[in-house]
Amino acid sequence: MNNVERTQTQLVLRRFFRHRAAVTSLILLVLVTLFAFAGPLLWRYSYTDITDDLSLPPSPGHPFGTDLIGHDTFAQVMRGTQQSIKIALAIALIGTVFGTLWGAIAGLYRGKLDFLMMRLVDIVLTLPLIAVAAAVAAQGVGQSQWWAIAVVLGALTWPYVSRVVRSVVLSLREQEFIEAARALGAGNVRIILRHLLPNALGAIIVSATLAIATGILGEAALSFLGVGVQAPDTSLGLLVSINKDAVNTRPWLFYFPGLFIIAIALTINFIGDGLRDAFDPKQTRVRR
Amino acid sequence: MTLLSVENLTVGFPTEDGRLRAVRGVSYEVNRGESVGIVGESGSGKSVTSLAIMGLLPRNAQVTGSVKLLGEELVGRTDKELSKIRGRRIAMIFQDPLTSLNPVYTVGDQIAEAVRAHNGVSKHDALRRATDLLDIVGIPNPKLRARNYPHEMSGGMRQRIVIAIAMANNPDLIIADEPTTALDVTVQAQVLEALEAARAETGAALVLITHDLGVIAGHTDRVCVMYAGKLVETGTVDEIFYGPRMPYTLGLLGSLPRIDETGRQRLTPITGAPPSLLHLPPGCPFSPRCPMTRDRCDDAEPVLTATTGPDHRAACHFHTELAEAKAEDVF
Amino acid sequence: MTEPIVSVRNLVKHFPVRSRGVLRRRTGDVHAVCDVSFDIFAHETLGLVGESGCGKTTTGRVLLNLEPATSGSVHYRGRDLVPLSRAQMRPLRKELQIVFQDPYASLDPRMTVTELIAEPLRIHGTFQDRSQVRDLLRTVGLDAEHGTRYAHEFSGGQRQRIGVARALALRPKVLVLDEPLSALDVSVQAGVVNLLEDLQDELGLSYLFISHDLSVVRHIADRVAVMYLGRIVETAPVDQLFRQAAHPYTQALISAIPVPDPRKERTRRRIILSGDVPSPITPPTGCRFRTRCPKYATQLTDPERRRCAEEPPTLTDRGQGHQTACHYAEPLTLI
Repeated sequence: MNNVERTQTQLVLRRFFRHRAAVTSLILLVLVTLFAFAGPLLWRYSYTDITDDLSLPPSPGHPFGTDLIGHDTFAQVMRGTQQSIKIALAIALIGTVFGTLWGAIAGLYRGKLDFLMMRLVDIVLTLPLIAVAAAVAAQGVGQSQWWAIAVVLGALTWPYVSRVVRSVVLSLREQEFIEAARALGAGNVRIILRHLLPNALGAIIVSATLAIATGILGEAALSFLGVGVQAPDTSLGLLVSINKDAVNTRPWLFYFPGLFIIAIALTINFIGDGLRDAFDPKQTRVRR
Repeated sequence: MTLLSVENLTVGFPTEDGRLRAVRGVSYEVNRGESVGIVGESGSGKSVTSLAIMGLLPRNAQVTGSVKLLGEELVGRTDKELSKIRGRRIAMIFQDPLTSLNPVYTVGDQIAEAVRAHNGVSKHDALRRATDLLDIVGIPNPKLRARNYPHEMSGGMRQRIVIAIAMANNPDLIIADEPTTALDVTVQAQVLEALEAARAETGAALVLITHDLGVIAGHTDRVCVMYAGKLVETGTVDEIFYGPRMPYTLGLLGSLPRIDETGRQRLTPITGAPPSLLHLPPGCPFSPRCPMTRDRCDDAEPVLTATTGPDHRAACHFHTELAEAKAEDVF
Repeated sequence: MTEPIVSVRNLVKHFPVRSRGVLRRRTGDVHAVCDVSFDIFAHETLGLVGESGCGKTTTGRVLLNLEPATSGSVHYRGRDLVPLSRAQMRPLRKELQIVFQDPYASLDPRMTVTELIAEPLRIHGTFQDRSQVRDLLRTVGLDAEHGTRYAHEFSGGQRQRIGVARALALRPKVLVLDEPLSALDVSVQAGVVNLLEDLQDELGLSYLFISHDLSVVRHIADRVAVMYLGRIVETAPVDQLFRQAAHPYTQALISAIPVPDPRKERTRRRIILSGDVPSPITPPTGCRFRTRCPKYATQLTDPERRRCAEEPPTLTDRGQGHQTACHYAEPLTLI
């Protein structure tokens, strides 16, 4: 028995901070987020500004260069990142909340209900995500708000979350401490709120993180197809899409937003990995 | 004649909180044909010691000291060299028999394979020998059972299959690490009987690692008691059980409820818990739980010293005071 | 004799075995508990012993209505618990509590010790302040200041004490102890045994002590019931059972327990059973033990064996509360 008192949270944080890739990713992501949300307040150009500098390669005045009509790419990438992150977070929120509920109910009640709920999940999972999203979003081209895209994509990410949560709940409900709570006279609500959810939190956080990454890529793909965020607003996916033909002539227009998509998706995945390791209690077991 | 000699064996594991000193200088010998019991609670280092002997520790383990099998050094050998010794000259039986059985072959084939690896007999003869071995370890209908797969058998049967495989190689030494811990008592009796049969057949020496003092009492000649990574007492089984000279051994014996004693006499528990192997106190590791502890115990860690005879040794500064002592008086 | 506090009659518990796949047809039943009857009296410890899969744990769970019974009755102070719903059962949970086998799995890892022990009080609305928890911690021999810690910071023995404190919080009358020692180290077990004995004396508790360890049962129990494959095969006052075991299974069980005494171990008579416990899905006809019974195998004549195969033996009184379910029971002194 060690003398140092540590709470569960402290243990998780400690393990997370030992995961080098995850911590580096977290720092990077924080910087990217600051860049996207605080940057526009400080930068001299807005994403809608049209400057006199046309088609300039990266320079001190325009770090990411400018496009054919004189948009400052730096400002556009800021705005694009901002929109992309916002949409991705919304997707993750919708997908996680719905997926958690769906999975928890299926896992808790088991039997026929579970069977039916999970078959529905299977069906949704067999749908080609982007194609469906594109088809749905295309219904409202020209008027689609950022949250509309989030709803569409969120409705397609929840099955992944619900599968994870269901399996966690299934294994948790067989744990002796759940039976102990029953033996004490605890009702279902108490068992769900006080025992199941706190113990499933790790798994939920991890799948939420991964849902953010899926969201970033999903939004990029939709915007790339022209059914996501619409001009004059912009997003990373839209920027890549508009500038895909410029990849040989003005590569900075294509590569900078592309780099940001990759960076965000990658860092979030690493953070997810770090969280998964941190929440996995098997990590601390010492061989006797 | 000395078969196995372990000298000043230490095992450490690097962990997030520092070095975990799992084994801190263990020395013992096993003679040909003899049965040595190693007893200790979880975390005492008894299993790690035997894994170190077999070279089966994870790669991050730091092992020092010497382990000699018939004069041949085992520590520092490559895994390839050790794997020749394992299973041929030393057989190992673990708590979970499934770790040593291959799920895709019948048990008969697996035993026959072991027979053939050792002496080049025909496949037919090997299978017949396998059936004999199954019979020796007490498997009913051995011919029929030889065609079963491991998953079709109960835990006790699987453990007896492992023993049959161990015998097939005619080893010099069998190391059994908690071989019956996961089993029910009546099945435990069957497996221990099979182990005795295997020893009678092969003449192998046995190192029996267990936390169960009852099993030790019935199946070993000599006993090593481990605590916090060290041997704290060693002697013949009678010396240890009838005249322990280390307070820990005495306390362990006193804390056991016994089936051969009537009435509700109070048990004499040992207070506290074993120390963390990460932050060991400087003196005797048992001192914080020992009712006899004095200043000297916290200053210097006692070493194994001869007590009633040269081979009955105990690691306690005050072992002489324990002559004729009873657990209920000391604790 | 006085009225029993808990009275179990003809308790049966079957678990359905279902086929895999969509239809999940019921293909058979696991006969976990079959026609089990016993009484627990006030301030008494009844030891329920048997090997894994014999149904002893299920019996404890069904007794507490944590699992619904297939048939039979469990009377607590004259009231049958079997038909009660979860809500009807709730007030009675205060009086019937359980301590689980695994002190690692039975304590929620995300709760502090104070929260763990206060939980039963909160559920039943009797939580006032933390001093209640501190008192309980002291009762089970733990430092009252350790309430802010989490279960993983304690050793196995200390965790089991936390489990006992949680069960005691509601001041129960009956405690089901489901293998409370089997996860603990030897030197720590004794302390928990002593604690359980002291608590029984102080609080007048009745215990159902479920265990596979006959040594502990001999120490702690007043009466013992031995289970094999879902049935009670023998029940007797503790000394009677260990001195004069009459059922061949009990005899084998007792003879198989290793004694920490080398001289006794060398000279003891050992009855080694052959084979394995049969499947509880298709238990043997007649006497369920006959497939492994040394007496059936070596001492009985064919007509006698036929009786074992055809007629299930019932518990028959041998006097002094000693009952044996064997057609050819014969007391045997093994220790």
